Amino acid sequence: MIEIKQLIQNLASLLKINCMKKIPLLLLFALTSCGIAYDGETRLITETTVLDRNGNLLQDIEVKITAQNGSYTDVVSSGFSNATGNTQLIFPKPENSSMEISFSNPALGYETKMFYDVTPDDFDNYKLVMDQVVVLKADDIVNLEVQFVNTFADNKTFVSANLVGLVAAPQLLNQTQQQFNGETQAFRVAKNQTVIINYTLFDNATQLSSDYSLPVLIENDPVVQPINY
Amino acid sequence: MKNTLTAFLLFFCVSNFAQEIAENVSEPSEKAIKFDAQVRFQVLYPIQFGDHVLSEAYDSKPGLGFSMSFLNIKNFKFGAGYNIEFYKVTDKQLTGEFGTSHNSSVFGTVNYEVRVTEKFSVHPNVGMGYAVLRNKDKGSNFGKQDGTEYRAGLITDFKFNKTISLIFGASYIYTKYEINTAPEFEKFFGDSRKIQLSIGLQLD
Repeated sequence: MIEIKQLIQNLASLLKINCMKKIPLLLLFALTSCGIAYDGETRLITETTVLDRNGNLLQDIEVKITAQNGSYTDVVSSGFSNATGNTQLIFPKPENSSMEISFSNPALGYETKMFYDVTPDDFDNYKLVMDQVVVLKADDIVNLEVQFVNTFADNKTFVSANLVGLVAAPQLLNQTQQQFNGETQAFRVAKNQTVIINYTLFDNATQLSSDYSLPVLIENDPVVQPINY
Repeated sequence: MKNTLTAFLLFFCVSNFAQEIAENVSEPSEKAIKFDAQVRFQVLYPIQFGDHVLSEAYDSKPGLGFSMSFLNIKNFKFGAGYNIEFYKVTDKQLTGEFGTSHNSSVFGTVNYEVRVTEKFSVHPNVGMGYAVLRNKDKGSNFGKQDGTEYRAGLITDFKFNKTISLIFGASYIYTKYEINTAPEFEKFFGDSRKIQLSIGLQLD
């Protein structure tokens, strides 16, 4: 009886040692087997037309789709626009990931235009058609600094603001304006255009909100635009 | 997949039925139904054609095949096989950012042996099985597509001696892969057609 008990104890300790040895291996396996998973039976398609700011179709602009899941990043597809400015990329659907779609060609002088937070839900029947993507040349971009300054003279509070125009910044799909926070903020915008700054202020005396719209002419030099309230 | 399972179930039913017959029948019928292993090792080369991603965006590379016949009913030989084919991506805009894919399949076959001379015979055959296309790039996995494959072909064998034969084969293989995509691309990613050429050895 004692011998059997001893045998069981020995077996138990042996199993324990083996399990302890396996834990680092299991951890290593768990760490290396993570990453972005793909559904090979689902193929997503993106179609785009790439233009310059004057509406000219652009060839040889690289389109790159990157999937992100936590700290993991994969380029899932890439290609170049053809002579008519069109690109079509087909790739397996990344699981539980968001995507970035970027357009660039530094050799031709074009800045990267990026759309972020693209998900498979943005695809209609497995296809995402981006009709016109405008890319800007690096030497066609200038800084615009918007300064919201509370003078406390009018007893108003900043509520919200956005900027409408050709802006070289990462953006969401279908986003036509850049949001900003009401403090000093810089944007990289196309030269020789008029951008519109829309903002809303709350009047503490009347308890009413009011909307304002300020056109700002951008030429070839950097612009600093204060807005006092 | 349902079709594949049905085919295998049917195959095993036939095997079991044949075994029972073989155990209970008299001398002349034992010669008609035999359990006789015949093993084939082959190097494969798939030639994809038609409007499918494997023909438009890949280069075919040589693959490997293994098959076995184990039940003979008169001149019909029932067996199973495994093939693996390798493909290199040539157009990543159509596939995604990975370098290679490989297609592996497990299938059941029925061969009909036609002995032309003492040393030369031909084997028309049909088969059906499960296929899977896996996409890889430097150890990363870019997903897989399951499918059902249907095959019809011809194998010729030249006997060196009683045990070893040199075999040549050609098969037409249609594979229907599972796919969810825009309607205009469903066939492009779903329906693969190929001629698979093979050369190898057969052990009797």
